[in-house]
Amino acid sequence: MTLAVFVGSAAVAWLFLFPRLASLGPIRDRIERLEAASIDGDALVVTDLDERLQADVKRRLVSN
Amino acid sequence: MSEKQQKPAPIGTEDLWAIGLGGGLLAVMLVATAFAGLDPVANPLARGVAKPGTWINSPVEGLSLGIWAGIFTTAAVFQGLFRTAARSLTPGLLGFFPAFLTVFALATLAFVLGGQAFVKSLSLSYPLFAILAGLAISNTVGVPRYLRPALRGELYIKTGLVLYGGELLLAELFALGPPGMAVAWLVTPVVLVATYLFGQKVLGIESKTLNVVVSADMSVCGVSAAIATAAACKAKKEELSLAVGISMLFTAVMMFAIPAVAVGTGMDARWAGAWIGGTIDSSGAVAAAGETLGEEAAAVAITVKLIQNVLIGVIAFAVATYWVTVVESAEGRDRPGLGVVWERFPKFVLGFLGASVVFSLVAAYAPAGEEIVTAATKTTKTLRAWCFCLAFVAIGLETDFRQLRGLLAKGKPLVLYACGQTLNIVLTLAVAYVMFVILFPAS
Repeated sequence: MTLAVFVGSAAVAWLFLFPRLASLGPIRDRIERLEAASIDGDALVVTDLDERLQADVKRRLVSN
Repeated sequence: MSEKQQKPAPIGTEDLWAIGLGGGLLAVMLVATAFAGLDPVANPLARGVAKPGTWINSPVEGLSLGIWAGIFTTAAVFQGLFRTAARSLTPGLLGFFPAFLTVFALATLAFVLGGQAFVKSLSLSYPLFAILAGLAISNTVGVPRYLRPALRGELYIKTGLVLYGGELLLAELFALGPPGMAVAWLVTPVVLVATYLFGQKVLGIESKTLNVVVSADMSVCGVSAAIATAAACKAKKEELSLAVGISMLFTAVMMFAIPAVAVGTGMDARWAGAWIGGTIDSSGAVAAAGETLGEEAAAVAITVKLIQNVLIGVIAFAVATYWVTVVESAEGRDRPGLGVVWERFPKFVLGFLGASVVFSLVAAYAPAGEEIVTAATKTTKTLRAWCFCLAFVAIGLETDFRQLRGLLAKGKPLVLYACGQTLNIVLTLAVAYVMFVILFPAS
């Protein structure tokens, strides 16, 4: 029963609540901004980040 | 003859299997990439490796046919490799296939949960959901008996760390020159040692392994440092779970708070970037926080975090050495000789460092080495993520929530993290100011 409550709550949160939150103005803007900059918010380590972003960072450092 | 005497001996150790599996996968990817031609440099095996992608409204958005194919191939290959290792380590082991598929399915679920765009924007990633998925099962209906053969958290973690070694190129340690070295090389070890001593001497944290895992997690680079340190000092599963949970909680707050302070006080972009890179735990959160201050701040922030990432190998080696020579010998044993130190030393750390050295040499000296290493590790980093995710599912399944509550008694780990992070914030701010504003200002 407890597991069913966990699963049900997670399903509601991920399938209904979070998609709605993601479409709210400021949150949507933030998500779009991160996407445009090729930033994976959940990257654990730098090598998890998009290769283009890593290459941009290296280029920027070299040019400085 | 008794039944116990008839039982065949294990073949190899967990550490040796981790080095073999991780090193073997790295070698296969490197060789496949190198022999696939240089125009353009690409890994021909890349299509066989995938994990669920990002989605907003429905998980199906992150699960194309190609991704499903990559997930199934990864599951098949891992099942074969880990079954061989598990059966060698536990002769006579049966029922690995259904157990592993279930653990793999839970890991897939963790990736899907962590891939939702809103969740990602808070830097809450798959390790948290993998632990929670495991905890939800083990602490409600209990772990089904048939799952036991695949609960090999340490084997998955160590294999993942050897794979991770290939991603850490030693030349990156010097990426920002003296300012970056000062922020990452000086502040990080000082905060790590000071926080560990604070936990022991002031807070009186009983478990030294919990103390060092939380200290490394906070001072180096979050979850990845916690994983490496926990494996190096043989910390308990629930201690690693706790450190990961605390790290993600603080990261979700700091990724908004630190840039807000930097903007509010009008800090110099490079100074603010170094501050962000040196204090926020996870790399995704560092990149997101840096981006709010502009491209230059983001570049410095990501590079400081990259240097800290590379330091993980050095720190894991130092912690492992300290543990076998000082901590374990102080626990009622004599000062160990070299032979004993070698026997106790977690050998996978050598695989981790060895992979880093080999890939660094290939990147530096082989023709088109950097491109080949980048293409090969683009695939191995996905395999490494699967290893970590499988490990956290297994850890969650083996963790009793009451043990976690016991560790949180009197909130000492939280106090340790908060105090250590405060020192980290102040010290990084000061050293970054001296290095990036006074000694090496932007030209």
